[in-house]
Amino acid sequence: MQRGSILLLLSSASIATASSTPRGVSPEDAKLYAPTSEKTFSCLTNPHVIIPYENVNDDYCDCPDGSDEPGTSACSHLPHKFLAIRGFYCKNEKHAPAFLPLGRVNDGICDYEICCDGSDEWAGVGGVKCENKCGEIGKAAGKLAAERERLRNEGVKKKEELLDRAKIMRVELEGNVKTTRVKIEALGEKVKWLEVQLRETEEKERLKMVKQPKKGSKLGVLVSLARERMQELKSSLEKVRGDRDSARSKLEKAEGILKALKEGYNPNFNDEGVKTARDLENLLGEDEIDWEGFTEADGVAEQSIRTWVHDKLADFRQMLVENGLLADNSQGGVPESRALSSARQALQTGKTEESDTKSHLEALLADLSYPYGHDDVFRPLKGECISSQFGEYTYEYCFLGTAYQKSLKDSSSVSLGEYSRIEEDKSINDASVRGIFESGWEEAHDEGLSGISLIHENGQQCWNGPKRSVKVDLYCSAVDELRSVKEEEKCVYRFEVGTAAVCGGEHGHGGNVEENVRDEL
Amino acid sequence: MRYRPMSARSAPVLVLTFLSLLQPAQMVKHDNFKTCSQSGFCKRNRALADRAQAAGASWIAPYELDEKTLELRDGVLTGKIWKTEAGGIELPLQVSLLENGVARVTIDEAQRRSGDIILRHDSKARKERYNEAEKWALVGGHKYQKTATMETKEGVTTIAYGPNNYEARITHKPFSVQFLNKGEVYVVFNDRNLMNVEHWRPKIEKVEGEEPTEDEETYWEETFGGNTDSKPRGPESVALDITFPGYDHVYGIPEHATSLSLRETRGGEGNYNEPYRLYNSDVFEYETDSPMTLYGSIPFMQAQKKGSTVGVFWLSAAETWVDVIKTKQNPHALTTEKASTQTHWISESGLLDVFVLPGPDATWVYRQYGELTGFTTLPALFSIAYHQCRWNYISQDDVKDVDRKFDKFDIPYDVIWLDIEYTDGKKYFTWDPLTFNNPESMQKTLAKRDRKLVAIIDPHIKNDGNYAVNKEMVEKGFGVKDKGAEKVYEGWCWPGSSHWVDCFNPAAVDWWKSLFKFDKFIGSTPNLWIWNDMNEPSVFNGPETTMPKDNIHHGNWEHRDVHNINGMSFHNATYEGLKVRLGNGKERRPFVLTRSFFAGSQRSAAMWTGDNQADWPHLQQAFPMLLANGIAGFPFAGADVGGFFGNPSKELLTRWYQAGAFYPFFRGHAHIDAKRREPYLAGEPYVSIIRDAIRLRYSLLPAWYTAFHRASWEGMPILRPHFVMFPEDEAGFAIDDQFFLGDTGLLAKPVVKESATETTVYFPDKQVYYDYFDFTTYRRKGHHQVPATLEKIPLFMRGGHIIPRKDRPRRSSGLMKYDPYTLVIPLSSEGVAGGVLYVDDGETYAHQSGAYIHRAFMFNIGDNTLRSGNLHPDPAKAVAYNKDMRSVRVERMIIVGVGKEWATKKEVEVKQGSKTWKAKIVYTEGKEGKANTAVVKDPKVSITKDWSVSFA
Repeated sequence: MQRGSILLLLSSASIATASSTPRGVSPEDAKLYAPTSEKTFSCLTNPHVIIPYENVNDDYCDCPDGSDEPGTSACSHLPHKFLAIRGFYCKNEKHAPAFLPLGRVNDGICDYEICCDGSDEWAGVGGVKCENKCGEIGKAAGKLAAERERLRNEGVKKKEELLDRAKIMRVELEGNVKTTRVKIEALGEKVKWLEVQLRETEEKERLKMVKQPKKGSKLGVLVSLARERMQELKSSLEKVRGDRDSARSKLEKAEGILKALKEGYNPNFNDEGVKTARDLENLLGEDEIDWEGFTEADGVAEQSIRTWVHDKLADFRQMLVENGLLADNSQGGVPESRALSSARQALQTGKTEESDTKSHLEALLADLSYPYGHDDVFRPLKGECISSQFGEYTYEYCFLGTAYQKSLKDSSSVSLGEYSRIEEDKSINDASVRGIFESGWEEAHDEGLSGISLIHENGQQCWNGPKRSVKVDLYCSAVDELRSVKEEEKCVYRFEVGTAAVCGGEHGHGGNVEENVRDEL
Repeated sequence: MRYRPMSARSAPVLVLTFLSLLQPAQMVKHDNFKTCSQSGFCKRNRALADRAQAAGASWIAPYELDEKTLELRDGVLTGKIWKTEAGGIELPLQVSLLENGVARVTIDEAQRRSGDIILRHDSKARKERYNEAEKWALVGGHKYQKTATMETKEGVTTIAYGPNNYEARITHKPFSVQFLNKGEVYVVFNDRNLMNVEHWRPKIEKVEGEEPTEDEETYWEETFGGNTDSKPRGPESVALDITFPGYDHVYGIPEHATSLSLRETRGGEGNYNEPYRLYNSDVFEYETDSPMTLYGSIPFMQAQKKGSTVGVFWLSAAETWVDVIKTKQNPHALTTEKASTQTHWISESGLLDVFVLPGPDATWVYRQYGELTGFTTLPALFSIAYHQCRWNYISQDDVKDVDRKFDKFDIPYDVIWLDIEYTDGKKYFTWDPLTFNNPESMQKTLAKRDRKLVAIIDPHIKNDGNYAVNKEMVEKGFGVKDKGAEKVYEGWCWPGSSHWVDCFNPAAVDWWKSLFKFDKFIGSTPNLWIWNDMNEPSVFNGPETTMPKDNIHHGNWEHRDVHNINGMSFHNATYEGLKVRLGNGKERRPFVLTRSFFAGSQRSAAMWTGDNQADWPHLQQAFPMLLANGIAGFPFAGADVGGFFGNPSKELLTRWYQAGAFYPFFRGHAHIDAKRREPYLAGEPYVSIIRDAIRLRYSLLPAWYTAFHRASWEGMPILRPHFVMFPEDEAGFAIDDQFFLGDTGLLAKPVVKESATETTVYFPDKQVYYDYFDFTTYRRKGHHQVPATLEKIPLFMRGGHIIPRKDRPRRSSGLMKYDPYTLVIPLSSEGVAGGVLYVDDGETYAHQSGAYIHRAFMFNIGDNTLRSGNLHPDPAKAVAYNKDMRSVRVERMIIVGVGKEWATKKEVEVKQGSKTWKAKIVYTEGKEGKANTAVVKDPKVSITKDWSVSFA
């Protein structure tokens, strides 16, 4: 605490006895409040302001830093940046001492969550009496603290397990990479060998062909190749048509929804989305989508496919000619020999196997460098899901996967976003975010956030808003849990998720994530 | 495959792109609301005005007072006016002279009064002209000038009345009335002969080939935006021109997003082309600087000239338009060249019923107006502290989290609000079973710090057969009916299909009141108060977003007749329900916020300026609107801090809090689509600056409450425009961006412009003014450049006042109850000062039996003594309360502007009762243009007692 350190620097020569410590001053600060021989008091951070000692805690604010009134609310109007004291010190015997903000002294409220001994209401304002509750609160707090400690330790253990599992997974993965690399090497050799085989076979065949030229057979191959290609294009066309049909039916469905919305939904003028729907209705009404034209356009598409296929075939043929595979004057030829085609096929198979294995390697490498956090701590969690109910929804969260919001009313399910990256915010527990005053003992029991967050993006588009997204703030917990969900602004969610993956380390942090962030970049 | 058939795929994509390109309109939809020319009766009356002007002297008005029928009895003159058309139409006239100098002129229509007319479409509507507006707007109990005398000479009847030599000179042919005060004319009725009472007539079908006249075109059914108004009574408007001779400024007739001093409305540079319209409407994304109608209406106007303020109150609940023009000629006074203001009032139906308030100054006008329509109810103290609202806090946990965050960031607040989403499916008096399943516990949490919850309850009742409130309302016939007068009206609002409670029905009001009982409104606690929104009423699919005018209310009055009172009838009923909730005389002052209002709303509610926008023009617009409301008798008013629609920049939000700290009703609010903007989220330095602004409000709560107290018995506005405080200073008559707070002498000019580092403030007199925060001294009348960097609120203390405040910011206002006071005493140039403090328990009605503290503080230069004197007329009744409060002391006196000779003073002598003691005083020399100050430290005097502090 900064203020605390200022106080310590200003240590005074004389030592105060417990009995003379003014109200609201902690034992460690007591020496600062020892009266001088002149019975005066110098304001702690404004020592040029010297007041008679009797003016300390006289319920009148003399010091510009508030230090003369540690036991009253007289200086509570001072801006925080001027204050030299942390607040009103509550001894809270049988519990932990704490500082209460000065404005809460003698306001008629027993602030037990900070001052369990009730000493803050010493003046009995409005007849209020605050009995000392430190006995029961201390007990309850002790229980909570022990439980928290237990959970933390358990969390740390769990994390070690996670790390072990992550390590094993990585070793397996790396082993896999290695064997795959070897396999690729072998396949490369094999392909080379098959190429040689093919060339040799070709050589033999050519020698044969010089004697007995049968150009027609080459063309036969080409025709069959072209047929294959044509078939491929045709099926693509089919697929495109299918896509179009499904898009059309989707559009019809969307239209239906909008229409139903316009008619059935409350035409609430304050809802931009509904306004938009109303405008869309106009759009559809005035400028109806021309399905006839659409079909015509479709005709054009088919036409253009035909043209394209034709052009491509022509190019293909040209390429073959240029490479000497096809005679310029296409005439009938002889069929290819069995030996040649089987050599060619063997090479083809070899090449395919090689490229498949290469992409497998790529996938393995991608997984290796995926942002799983420091030491891959999140890797074992991937695919694990937790859920919790908040308000009218059940929220489901799958680690490094997708977050869902499921309505309890109509059981619809909406994606709130897919995992994209890890972020670390070291200021998450700073006063500017958490609040400038300490929390009550119960709230303080809640495990603090680690500062590590998993960012999920590209969820379902919001009605008149952005695509949904979730920032998942992690805290240390032995069991995976979803403790809070907030919609911070329209369609921007924030989850607090407990996991052992962030246990241990400084502030319960899961360690340095910068590496991973860099990896990701 | 890289190929992608273009057209097949892109068409749906195109539609989606269109969707995202359709930007929400940032402007009001003008097409949704009528202009004068689209409102038949307005068009007809404006056309009449044009014809009259074109005709000049040859214009003949068809209204003649029948001299033989005149009779004056006990301060009430009765007689008959004949409209010399259609064979003569009899219009009964009544002129009532009230004891306080107010004159009331009422004109009715004899044939309709007797019910001798035929309504079209078999309408069940009442045949009389609506004559019950006074039941809702006026407080009654008026006494008349029984000693008034009447004299008729040469076609002019003069009534003399009142101690101030008031006169009403009635010219018989054509009918007109001049009102005089000490021989000077201040108001003239029918000066321009634009008076018009459209009498009932049967519809005569035109024979073929015959064209209707232009007027006739709008006599019968009128269609607007796809809705047809059946108008079963045909044309029935009333109109009158009212001239204020020699008065060049007029103010009032809220609610409009316009300047305080009303601009002309018949074109010309800098003028509007449309009349000011009063037809309570839910205007979505309303624009600033416009005469368009808004959510509420108070047909009360003041006219100001140097040294004189007068007023008129046009009592009509129907749609009303007011044209304003100014002329340089003044035919009624020979000595002055001053401009006159001519107004033209046009209402669709009802009586012609106008009150003339003689003033002669603002103080008197407000008292007179308050005696007519009632004074502002003294609000509960918490309700003038800070309110935190959002559409919506989505769950009880969300509410508790916000509550906790305010404490963790040390920002005081008193009330957190729930918008419509807390309900179970927009059914009022229910809670969402998933998000608010334990509302009592939530309210208990808030109550721990003496905080409150306000929840919204609107007049539209979900049309749902399983919803008890709806079932009961429909079965008992308490809903508004459609034009057939039998079926309950069905329209659309938040819940979808809805019915509307008809609070014009006393039985419906009793039923509505009963809904607030704790055993009926399950989940409500004494800590819950109510927000009435959408009570114009807002009907999403209705004409101009409201109800059809031919709907039928209790007593078979058409909605047309009562429209502008609808909102008030509803919030009144809510107020009554809340008041008696606890039973056994444990009544507490209810808090009800309303969006729609009328003259009289001040007796039971606070208002806000509705759905503004998060931009600088709307921040700028708020003060003129709040000032206008304040001088129209309804000062408990605010604007959404931060702006409802959109996202304010941090600078705008911060400036808005600085301005909001000076709104009588101080609430932050945001639209559901807007980002969260609770003050603690703004980051530094904004959070600290906003905290300072809210703390400033809390520390000045004693001054605010005292100002509310004065409004509650004298009608003086809380925020006082210059013309009220300095009626001789014409340079201040149009100022509406700075104002005084009550009687404190605090002059505020919160910054409402972007990137300001300084601003110009106008000091209206030669008195000394001190900067509130650093005591910089200004001694010259006129405009001054003053610093206005982001953390600075331009706020000044006029010399000669004493400002009570409390310098111990607590979590809520209730926790400051026993905190000591600080008296700030800015001395006048002459070295004197005075001020007032009013204190009571801030929540019950005990003050009505005398349980309050009312003190005057005077600093007298003669003997250099500050005294506290009792203003309580019956101190014996305050004994018990004083006992509770006796320990509340004055902890500090800050005397600003003392002479150098004070440097030698070390002690002052304090006397309280028979005892005398000393207190310390500390002098600080002011440097660089700042005033010298002297602070008395803890004089240990009680706020309940007489005492004196001698500085001699």
